[in-house]
Amino acid sequence: MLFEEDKIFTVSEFIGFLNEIFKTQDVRLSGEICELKRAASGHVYFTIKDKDDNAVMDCIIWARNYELCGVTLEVGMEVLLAGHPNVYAPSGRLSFIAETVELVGEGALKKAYDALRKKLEAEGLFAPERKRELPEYVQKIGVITSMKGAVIHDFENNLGKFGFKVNVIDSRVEGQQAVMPIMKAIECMRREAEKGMIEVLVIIRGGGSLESLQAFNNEALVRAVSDFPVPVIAGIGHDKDVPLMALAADFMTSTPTAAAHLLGRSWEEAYAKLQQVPHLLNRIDQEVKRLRGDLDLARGRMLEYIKRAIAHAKDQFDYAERFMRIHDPRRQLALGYSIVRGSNGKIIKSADVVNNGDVIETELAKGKLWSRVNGKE
Amino acid sequence: MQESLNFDKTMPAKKESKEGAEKESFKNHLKEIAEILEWFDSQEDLDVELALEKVKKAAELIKTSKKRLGEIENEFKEIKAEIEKD
Repeated sequence: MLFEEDKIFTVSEFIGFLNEIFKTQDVRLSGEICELKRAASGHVYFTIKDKDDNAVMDCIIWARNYELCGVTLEVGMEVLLAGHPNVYAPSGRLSFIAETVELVGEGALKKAYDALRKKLEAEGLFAPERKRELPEYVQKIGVITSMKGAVIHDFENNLGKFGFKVNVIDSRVEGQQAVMPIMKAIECMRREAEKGMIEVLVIIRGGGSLESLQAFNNEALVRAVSDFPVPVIAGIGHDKDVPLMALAADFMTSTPTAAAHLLGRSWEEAYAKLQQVPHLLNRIDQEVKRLRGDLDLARGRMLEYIKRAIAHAKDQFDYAERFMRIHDPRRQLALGYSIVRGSNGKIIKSADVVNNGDVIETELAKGKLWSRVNGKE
Repeated sequence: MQESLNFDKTMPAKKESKEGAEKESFKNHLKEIAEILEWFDSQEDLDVELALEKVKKAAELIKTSKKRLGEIENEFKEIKAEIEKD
């Protein structure tokens, strides 16, 4: 920042001038907390000092940043701060405005990780029943990752050519300082999801130590993922301790490549099914031909049965006609036969049943005769 | 009469009521004819008047049934032609 050489500042102007310069500085500062006070507003005022000498620095972390860091500060803790110095005009005191605070040392990080994991587990944040299914044939994908490095390339190269629309937000993913950028990226993706612009969110980064993966063990970020409106895939490489964000996500993959394959799975399966279609059509065609053959056979048998039934009925009627013709009494009489009855009206079939002198009746084809028996044999 | 036929099962059902009654009478005719034939077979003493009546009745039944059978045959031919056209 430039200023006129002969310029005379007021105190206020000078402090303002210094603060403008300080704000541009991205300083990382480590020390041990020796005093600590949390105000009713939620802001935390603390002092850190070097281990080996008496140098001290007053520090402030605003409530929102403190909550976002997911660290509970205590006296005696060794911390690493990122932020910038600032002079407070009313007192002229120099303080350090910390934007992030992180614990120093694997031991402290592990302790914090274990405690948070236990707490979130008890809340049921990692419960299997909370996990959502991945929609089939996903097309709109939101990705949060760093555009630097091989991760995004590995992801894109393995995604497959299924017409995906990938919306990537470039974010810092390393260390505690990644918390704020990732949070902003998630908030942005949330708005996209609510507008229907993404169907799934993918958060990916390569492997790292507990220290470099701190942001992925941040409580606020873990909750943001757990509460995300569409399913989340976390493809975060890790050594021993699974990042808590991955535990809270709907799907956890060990690499960005695996996350890409997961998204392409339903498409791959559909493609495999499509390959089966010609075979399936062939089978259907064969089945149709077989059924048609069966139907033709059944139709032929049915027609044959009815044909035979009609012919049989005709035979029966012809037989009945012939039978009736033969048994028609008029035909017998017409042939010259006659019917002889006794006085009791019964047909005489034997000479034994009549005596000489009996009157008998003879029926002819035309008319009747009455005769008296004169003799018999 | 030789073996009996069941046209109810073999021929397609047409309209109810009148055609149902026709079908029923056709069936009854067959039965009645069979009974008359049996009657002739069982007579030892022939009652000419009754035999004549039976003959007349059988002739009438045969004539009606043959007419109906002709109709059935025509229907069958139509159906067969229709089926074979497909």
